Amino acid sequence: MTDLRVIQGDAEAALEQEVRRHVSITSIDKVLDTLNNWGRRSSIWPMQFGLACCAIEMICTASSRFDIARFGAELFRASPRQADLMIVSGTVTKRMIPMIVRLYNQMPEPKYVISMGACSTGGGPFKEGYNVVSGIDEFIPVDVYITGCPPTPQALLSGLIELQKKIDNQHYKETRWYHPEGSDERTVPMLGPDLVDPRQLDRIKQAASAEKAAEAPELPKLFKAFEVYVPEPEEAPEPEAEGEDKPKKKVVKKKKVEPPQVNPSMQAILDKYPQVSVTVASTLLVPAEDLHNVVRHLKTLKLDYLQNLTSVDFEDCFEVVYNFSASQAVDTEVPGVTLVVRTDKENPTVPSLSAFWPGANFQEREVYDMMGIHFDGHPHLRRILMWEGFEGYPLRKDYLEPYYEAPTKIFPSRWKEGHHTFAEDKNPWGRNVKYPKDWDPDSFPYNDDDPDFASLGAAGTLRNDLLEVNMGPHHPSTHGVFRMKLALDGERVVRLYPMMGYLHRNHEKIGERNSWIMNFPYTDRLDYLTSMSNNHGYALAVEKLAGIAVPERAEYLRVIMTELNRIASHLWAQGFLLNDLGAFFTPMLYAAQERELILDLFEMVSGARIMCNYMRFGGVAYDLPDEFYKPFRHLIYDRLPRMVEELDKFLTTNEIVMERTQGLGVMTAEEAIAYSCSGPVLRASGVAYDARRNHPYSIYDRFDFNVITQPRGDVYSRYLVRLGEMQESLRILQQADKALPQGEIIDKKQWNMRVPAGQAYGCVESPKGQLGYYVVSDGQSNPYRYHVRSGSFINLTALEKMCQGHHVADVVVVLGSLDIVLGEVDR
Amino acid sequence: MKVYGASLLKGLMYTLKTFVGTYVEDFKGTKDNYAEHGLRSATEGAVTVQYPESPMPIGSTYERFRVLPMLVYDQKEDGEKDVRCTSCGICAKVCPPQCIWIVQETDENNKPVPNPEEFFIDTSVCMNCGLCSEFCPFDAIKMDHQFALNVTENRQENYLYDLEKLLVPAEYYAELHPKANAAEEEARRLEAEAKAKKAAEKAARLAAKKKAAEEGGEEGGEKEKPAKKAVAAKADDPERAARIAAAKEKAAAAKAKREAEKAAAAGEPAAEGAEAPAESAEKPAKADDPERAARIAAAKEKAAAAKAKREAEKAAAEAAEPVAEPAAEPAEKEQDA
Repeated sequence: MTDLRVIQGDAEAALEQEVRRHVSITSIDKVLDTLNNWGRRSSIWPMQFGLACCAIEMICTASSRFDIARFGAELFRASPRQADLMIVSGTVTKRMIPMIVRLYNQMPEPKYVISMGACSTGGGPFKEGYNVVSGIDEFIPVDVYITGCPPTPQALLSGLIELQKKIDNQHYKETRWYHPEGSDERTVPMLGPDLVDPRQLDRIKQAASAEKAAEAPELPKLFKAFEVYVPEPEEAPEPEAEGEDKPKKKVVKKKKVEPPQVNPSMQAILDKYPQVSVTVASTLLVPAEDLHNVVRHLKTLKLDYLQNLTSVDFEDCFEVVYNFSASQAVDTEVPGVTLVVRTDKENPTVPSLSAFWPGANFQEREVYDMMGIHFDGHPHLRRILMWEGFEGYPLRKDYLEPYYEAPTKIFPSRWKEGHHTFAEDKNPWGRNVKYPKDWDPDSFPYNDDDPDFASLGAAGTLRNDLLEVNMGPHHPSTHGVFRMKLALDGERVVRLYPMMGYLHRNHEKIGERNSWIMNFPYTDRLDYLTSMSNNHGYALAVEKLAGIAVPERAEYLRVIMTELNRIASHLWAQGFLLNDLGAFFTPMLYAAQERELILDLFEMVSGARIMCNYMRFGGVAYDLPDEFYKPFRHLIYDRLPRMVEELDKFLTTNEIVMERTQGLGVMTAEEAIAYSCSGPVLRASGVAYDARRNHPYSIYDRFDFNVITQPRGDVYSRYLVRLGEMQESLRILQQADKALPQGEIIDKKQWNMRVPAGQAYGCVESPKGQLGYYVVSDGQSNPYRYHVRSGSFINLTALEKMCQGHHVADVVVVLGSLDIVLGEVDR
Repeated sequence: MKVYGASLLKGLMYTLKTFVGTYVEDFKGTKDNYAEHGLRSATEGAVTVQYPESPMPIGSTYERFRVLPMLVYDQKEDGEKDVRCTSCGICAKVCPPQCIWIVQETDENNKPVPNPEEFFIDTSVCMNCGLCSEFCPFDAIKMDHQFALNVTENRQENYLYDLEKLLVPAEYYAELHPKANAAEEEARRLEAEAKAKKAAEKAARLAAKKKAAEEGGEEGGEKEKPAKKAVAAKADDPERAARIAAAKEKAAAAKAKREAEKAAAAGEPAAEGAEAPAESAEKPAKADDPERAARIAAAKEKAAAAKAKREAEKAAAEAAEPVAEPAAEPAEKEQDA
């Protein structure tokens, strides 16, 4: 009554206020809204759907430390039909967007979308790439955006809370799902020569028929022409700088080692084949017609392992590069060789190696896809990362992306007169697309995925009574956006055709535009579970090329970080293997819980949980903070050893694990080598090939550790190898902790540098397999060619071999035992 | 013959053990445990982060934690913002996704002035790598800890941060990165000392004064201004704004204390210095979250009032207890929240 007295001037309002105070329910609408919204907000079921790095943080959000269940959102549903919320977690690629829109359409109302991370919000760091959609909201409506790269689990929770607030304000009469128009359906984009939005089809047609003057003013790309090529390097010193590129190269070269470094293996080849010559970049130039002979001879030289296969686009030729090494011998005994084959630019053709090394299969397809080089005799030469029908070969230097701005970073538009513009505004379509000049949208066959199936049948293996099953790219057990096409005879796998590229983020194209240092944070995002290893490999390759020394303490820090990362990654792998075996998420939670502690250390040292960006050329970015040592020692001496022991105790003799994994997915040693498998997959087949031993790098020669191998080559062996490697990593860590010296962590921090011309292949033993970086420098501040040899990608070559004859349920387990990460597979 | 299910039972037992173990940890006082080990979780098992109520601690241990870049400014004596950035462009040149855009200021003769006229960061492109702050020679661009960066609409505009949105006072930075800031200040101090060798004493005193000004902010009128800026810039970000305000409040309180000391002779209570920032502090927070802002403001007012009172009483006797404490409390609470 006091209120009434105070505001007697407005009696009506006062009365209403009074009524409100004493009668809490004023209308049926309010009751319904309150109940309805309360129910919805407290039981948001997200879809089990992850695209890239952000998905890892999303999984962490669901694990015990961040416990999304506190918000009633723990029920991650694998099927869109049971989900309320789509968390678009990661980079949305053009190849993936049709699937995402379809998934969205399949979700029943009410449906909400959280765009998690910079990539799905606005393209993120990969925005400039040719296969990246700049923002999921171009195709589906978004309720809450969370930027950050990646947003931490807490950031995701804050986004979820934001969504709950939004739900709280819903009024049931206004929500679309209680109206006749019903569900929100979005147009599914198509994959033409580029991503085609059917809503823009009319405009595209008009533009195609109209004069294409608007699209003409593309920036001409300036390229360092001709790269290393001198048949007789011994005579190289005489020409002095004449202003042209070639002599300049030699001059630069002279500074390093004037004649190319010819190791015994190279000499053996040179002696046997006079037609083979050596270049100033210490590669062996093999005539295309002799390639088969030479590589056959390599096997007699013990060089039986095809490490890496890639290509370089030079001004006068395409060059296909092969790195060979010995799987049974250390580098110092049998050094590896780099062969190059050159082919003309008009009609580039190179003989295929996939008959000798099945491991070349996917790599050659990648070269074909990215550079348009044909491989004679390849069994199935199709695009692999992009879709059939995509226009252009992206890694050719003359390929310009839709958002193309300048040949190299640093973009001149950013500084001094850096008035901000959105890349979208400069594109005629307002998105990251471009179409060929006279493209006819009507007659284009938009069969983005069927050709592969057809060709699967064409191989003569697919009979009518076989069942065709698609697994992925949205599938809870494919560890990301990976897709397999299976041809099944009953329950048995007859053919398996892996399809990838759904997370192809154009790492290499962007990497060639970046300055050298800019690639560090990008490498974090390759295999987003092992950013430390990724940094390390890249640093090694460039340091090799530039001849940069690393201080003692920095080497130790690198080893400590990469080994911690190995444990974190293997934990994740073991947890997910159990997931794939059907022990859904519980073992995973235990693994993730320990991993969090390692991530804490990373955050303390580098500032980020998973995107550490910790290493620099010639050292590391930061020294350890004083608070690091205590938790670190607690982890490596006490907690992690106990935990690994526990894993061993509960899983190794677990009869379900044993029954499901023993004898499954067997690779013999010979097969594993031929398929260029690496990492635990190779070592589980009994081959003691570990880059830390075979290609000694950093200071691994100072530590006492075993290369864990298992003889049987099945899934169980891979599990055991990973378990053993965790123990070995702990041993290394303990030794490193004891020997960690004081001192400098980096000589000179440079934000921009030039690297002498040449080529280098640097590799590390990443937890997933051998991670190699092939870099070519033309002496500038950007890599001329930057290629990532990804263990995950090449291990997948053997997937079909491993799965054939097994049940379809076992495919999931075999895939889990390969421990792929799609960021590294697709790059 | 294998006994199927035995290891299943074993696993279930393990889960049970863990479940019971969590209560044991509770009884033992988990918090002490993890503080002891410097971890954010217990010695055994894990501690669930109660996110909005009590997020993961950052403190000085995890101060390298990085999300988005921010631009640091110092408060000049006359209240102007002394933006540390000289628009040298290194951050824009080292930025991997090239999401930094800088317009350099020019004078009437079109000569460059070491100041950014415009500064943009497209945070929907930024990859939070921290290279910009790592290579900034002027300690001008630093990494923020604010991770709750949700927007619900207009993401293009909302995620394009301009100068206004990026600027934070040096106190805020000092609060987030205490160790780094101390080291940098030390380095700057040494540098300044070396530079001003000739007029050593005078320069040193000036630097100290300037530093004091940095920490202390200035009188109410100017105090209002940056806070208002914060309102405009951080309207969508009450937490950060509140933190900035709180940091300022803290500094202002410290200043007020000094002033009170000075004023003691005149027997004049120095409440105004503290009053104004408290007022301004409620503004940024209020923009979005009236409840919380009111709480903060109330706490602050109370603190300020109490402080002023005590100040007046104790000033003559030179209060030993740092009077800034109560005012600083909300700041710390904010940080934890």
